[in-house]
Amino acid sequence: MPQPVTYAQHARHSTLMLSRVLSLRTNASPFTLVLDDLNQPAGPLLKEVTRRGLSRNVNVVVISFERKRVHPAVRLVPAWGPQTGEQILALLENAMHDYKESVVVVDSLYELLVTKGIDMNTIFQLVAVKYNSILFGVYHADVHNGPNTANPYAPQPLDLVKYMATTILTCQSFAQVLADKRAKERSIASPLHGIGNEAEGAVQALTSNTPAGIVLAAEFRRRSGKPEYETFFLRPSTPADYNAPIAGMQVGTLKLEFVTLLNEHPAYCKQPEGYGSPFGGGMTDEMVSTFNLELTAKQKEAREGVVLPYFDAQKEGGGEGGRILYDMGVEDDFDEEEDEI
Amino acid sequence: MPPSSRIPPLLQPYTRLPAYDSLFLLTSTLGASANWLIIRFLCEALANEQDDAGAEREDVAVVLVSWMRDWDFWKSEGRKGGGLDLERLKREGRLRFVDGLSGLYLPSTPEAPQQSQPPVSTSGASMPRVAQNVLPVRGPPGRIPTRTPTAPVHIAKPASETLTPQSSTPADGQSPLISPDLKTLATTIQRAMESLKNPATRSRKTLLILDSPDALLATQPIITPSDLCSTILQLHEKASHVLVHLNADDALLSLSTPPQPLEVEGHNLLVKMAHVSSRILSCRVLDTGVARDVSGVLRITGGGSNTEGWWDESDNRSEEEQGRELLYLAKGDGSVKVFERGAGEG
Repeated sequence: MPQPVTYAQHARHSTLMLSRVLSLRTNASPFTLVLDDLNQPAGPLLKEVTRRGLSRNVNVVVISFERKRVHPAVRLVPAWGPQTGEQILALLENAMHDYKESVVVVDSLYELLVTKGIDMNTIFQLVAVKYNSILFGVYHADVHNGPNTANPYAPQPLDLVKYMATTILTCQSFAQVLADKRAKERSIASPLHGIGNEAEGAVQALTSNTPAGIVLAAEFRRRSGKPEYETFFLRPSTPADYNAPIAGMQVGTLKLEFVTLLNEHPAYCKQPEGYGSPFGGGMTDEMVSTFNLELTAKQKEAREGVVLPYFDAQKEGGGEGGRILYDMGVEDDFDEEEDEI
Repeated sequence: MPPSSRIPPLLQPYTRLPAYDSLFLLTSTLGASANWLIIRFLCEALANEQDDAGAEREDVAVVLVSWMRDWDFWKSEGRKGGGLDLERLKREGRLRFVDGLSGLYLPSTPEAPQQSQPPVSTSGASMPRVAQNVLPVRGPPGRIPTRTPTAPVHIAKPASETLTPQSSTPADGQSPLISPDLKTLATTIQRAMESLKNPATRSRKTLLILDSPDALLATQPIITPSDLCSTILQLHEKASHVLVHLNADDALLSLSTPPQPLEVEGHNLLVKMAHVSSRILSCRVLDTGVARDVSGVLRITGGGSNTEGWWDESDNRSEEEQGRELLYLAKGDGSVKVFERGAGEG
């Protein structure tokens, strides 16, 4: 595939790539790995995926280790209890078998692989190969792996899923991305967030999970083997983004794609030094400075009223302007000789 | 003062139990105890019968499970900090206490065989004095109760209950844990919850408070964070609201090199619970050092699985879902002031 020439082409191309993944298009990405942590949980992303899945009448199945509450149209496979791996797989197959197209969301891949002992290949074979569906797995990057005592030479589960994934979406908090960027612009170390990095006892950063939206750092692995990297901004969707649902559907179709590149977000590309934005939007012509250069109405009026010496001198009698008016004080020592020059 | 008014106004939106099922995480550090906050949650859940103004509020039953404190501690704290008569509430069938400490970890006293009579007979008069001898209150300076040096440190009651745990459950509203096994834990708590449901035929909501289940990780190395987490979620199926209190001290969580198993497990349990919970309230000491008029900082964040699951059309994340930090001052008399930064009494 030829490289996009202009920035606009690149942006359009990248947005389309993510849009295809989020909208669960067939063959876009059979196994999408979502890496999240407490700074930015994957919740908003999963919500959007679920909504888009339902809007396209895709069967949404959730293998849930963490949530009991899902949308009524979503098929829930509870896995937090004592179910064994085989039981979960049987339930999953049962939930998928009557649909042509499904998306399977696993809200904790670590639990599925380590605790339930399901092999990644097994579930990938079942979902992606047998049912030609899409697997969406969430992995909490802040869960540490203990040493694997049973099989010390086996790869860590995170390495394994990273190796197998066809798309990797890393969730980042928008507020923290902005803070990092500000720090980088001033060439200082970027601030650390979250557990262990802030004060002792602070579990989640205050800037985590901002309602404005989330930042997705995406790695698309194309069929050609070529990876593509881009960072996106996903705002929470509103009912206005979707058309009214037709009969028998839960959600109407998406009106217009609203995922954008992070670079196009006005709050991100704003450059306080006063340079124009390369992508337009969000910038005004005003100079940015720490001083207030504005004039109040009163100050403006006073400025208008000033009579410049040049005009004053043209009056009859030479005018009074232009002379230096100074009253001698006691401490002034008037030097006659200097004045004679 | 009615118990509901013991909750500072700034805190009220956060202690209120939501209409949907929820799991809250409460964390504390060594210098900043969260016991006062647990008492406030107890107040919130148990207040309505004592406070006739809030008659329209829902009837909530409470199961309190504690691995770090015994019943006497909670009873005295509840009276002091919340104005709650927990003993009476227990008799009325609104509260059950599951003792994870005495039966498991405290030495059984020599006079245990004498107590073959039902444990209901423990006289209330002697209890407060025993309470002062059990464990010092973790909290701001000045709250440590005076110890009476003559009385020996012992808890007489649970030893006899250990012998007949099942029969004692409905009698005195107290179910001791007799085995650290997670299955026993789950069945004991479930039985406690069911015993609360029985008297009223209507299904009422249950608040399950788990105080320091991370102690199990240390005492029972065979228990993994995943097992514990899954047990808590299974209990959440029965209880509409779960409040988990964990310790978030750096010494327990931050990894040394090479990482020690307990550090990894403590960290994983906390992170997993934080991902599961819909609200995190963490207490810590003031970053700038000890202050006379501030006991600590309370940080409230949205947690990992935000509120209504990741689904609902009304996407209104209100103000209380946003991260927020408040200061608090826990006084010696058990009362607590909560205020914004810079709004202290000076």
